[in-house]
Amino acid sequence: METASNVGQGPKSSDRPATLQSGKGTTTIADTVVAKIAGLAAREIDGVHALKAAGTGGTIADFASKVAGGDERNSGVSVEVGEREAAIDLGMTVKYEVDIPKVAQAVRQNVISRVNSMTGLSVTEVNIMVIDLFFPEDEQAAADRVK
Amino acid sequence: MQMDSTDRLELARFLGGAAIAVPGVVGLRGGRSGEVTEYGPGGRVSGVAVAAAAERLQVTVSIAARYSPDLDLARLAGRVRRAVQRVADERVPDTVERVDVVVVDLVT
Repeated sequence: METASNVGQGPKSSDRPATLQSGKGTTTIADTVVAKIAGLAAREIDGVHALKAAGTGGTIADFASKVAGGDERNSGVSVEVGEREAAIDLGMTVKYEVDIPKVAQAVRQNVISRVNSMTGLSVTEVNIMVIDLFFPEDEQAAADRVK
Repeated sequence: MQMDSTDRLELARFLGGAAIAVPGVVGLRGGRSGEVTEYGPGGRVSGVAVAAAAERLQVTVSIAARYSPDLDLARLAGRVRRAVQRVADERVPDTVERVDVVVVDLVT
């Protein structure tokens, strides 16, 4: 929770937007908010099918989050947020027949620019794990099977 | 600055109202266990906490913001801070020293 902190008249206020310096007080942006922005930015890219946490640990984490009433939009996204910087890990499935490096690069760029413009945090790294491929015909086949 | 809980609750209601009125703010959020909540006789205000800081008061406002492609949380938080400070200065002049803004959620 203790993130993107800016004391209005503190020494760090110089690298924050001027609007923040009027009045006194701090602004804190919760990790979940940064994670949501990153997740939404990733999903905007064509070729990304879904965000999903990687591995067994990820599956358990997603399940635990569902049981605990966590936000599904944050699944597959983990963030580490410092005072002015953020590092983001993304796990995703991509559609079959896309150029994976190109999609990953587009995701990275969009995540960096969205998080930066919306929170003021500079993103030091976006680590992307492509954990599976999505075949559109699979979904159709599954739908046919359970008519 | 001494204030009883009835006064604090009333002040918190006005300050919360000022925060909600800022475009882009969806609502106030008190946190899962009510960390940022003002309690008083016959009521509570979620998402606003008024704490005594030395001689004056320190206010924390915890909000959920609406997602939009041109979202700027630093600017939004600044607007909330100024709106809350303005109302505080009207109701209790020279009392609220600082307004901390926490963005805890984003609503799409």
